[in-house]
Amino acid sequence: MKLNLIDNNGSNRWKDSHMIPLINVVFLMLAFLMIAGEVRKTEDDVFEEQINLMLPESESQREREDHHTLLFLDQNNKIYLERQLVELSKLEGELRERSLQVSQFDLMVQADARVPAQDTQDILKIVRSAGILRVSLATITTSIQP
Amino acid sequence: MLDSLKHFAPSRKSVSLVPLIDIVFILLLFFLLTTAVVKDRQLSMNSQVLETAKQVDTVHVLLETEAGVISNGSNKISSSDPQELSKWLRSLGFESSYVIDVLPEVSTQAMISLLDRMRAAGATNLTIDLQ
Repeated sequence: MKLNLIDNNGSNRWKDSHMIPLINVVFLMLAFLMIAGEVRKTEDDVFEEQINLMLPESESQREREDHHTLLFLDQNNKIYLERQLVELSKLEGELRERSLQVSQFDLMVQADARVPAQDTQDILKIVRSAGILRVSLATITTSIQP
Repeated sequence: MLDSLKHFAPSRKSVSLVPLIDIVFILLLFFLLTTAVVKDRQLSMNSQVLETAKQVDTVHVLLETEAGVISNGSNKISSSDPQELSKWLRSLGFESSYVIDVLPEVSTQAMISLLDRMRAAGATNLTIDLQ
């Protein structure tokens, strides 16, 4: 079977109308990629941007789970518990109080990658002394392949 | 007369779609290649793991520099070299419990990277020093 690539006028132009389904498909793929790339931001994500938090990168393959409470440690060593600024001296008391309110309390520490590791370590020590056993450190994995 | 009528007759000029397709394909390629996906991950720091880890040999590892130089009192190696790290871990035992401590100038990123490298090299019991 031969493809008829010559139009009625006898010229060698491609029939552009035959390309329309292809263009439709390509446009749909483009739209899908553009829309799929959009992720709805939570209040915590917005807060992360506000305090310019840069999470450390890791090779961890463990998906981030939901936690009862989030603790942020920003670049300037400011501590935020559920987006509220907390002094270091009052942190242990605050954590203890919150952990008593629910059973199986768990905490996610979101420490900035640029913060000295000893400061992150100090926070983890306070968390531990507050009696909280289920603690996770938030990280990110960046890949260029979708 | 006929010639002048031909001049006013509607012409059947069509716009070529080929350049449009070219542009769309280039856009598609651009999005495919440049899209960076940031995935949220977590590292478990559960204290119960530390308690269990105390039953086996404990090795205290001190992260000294941002570049990943580590020591355990006697030996000093660069953790950024996977072969050197693997050899070091083999000599100390992969099953040993490694408790990581850091010097003040080291960042959180460097500490997390060390945990990643040690895990990749075969260490199974890794914790951060919380004493």
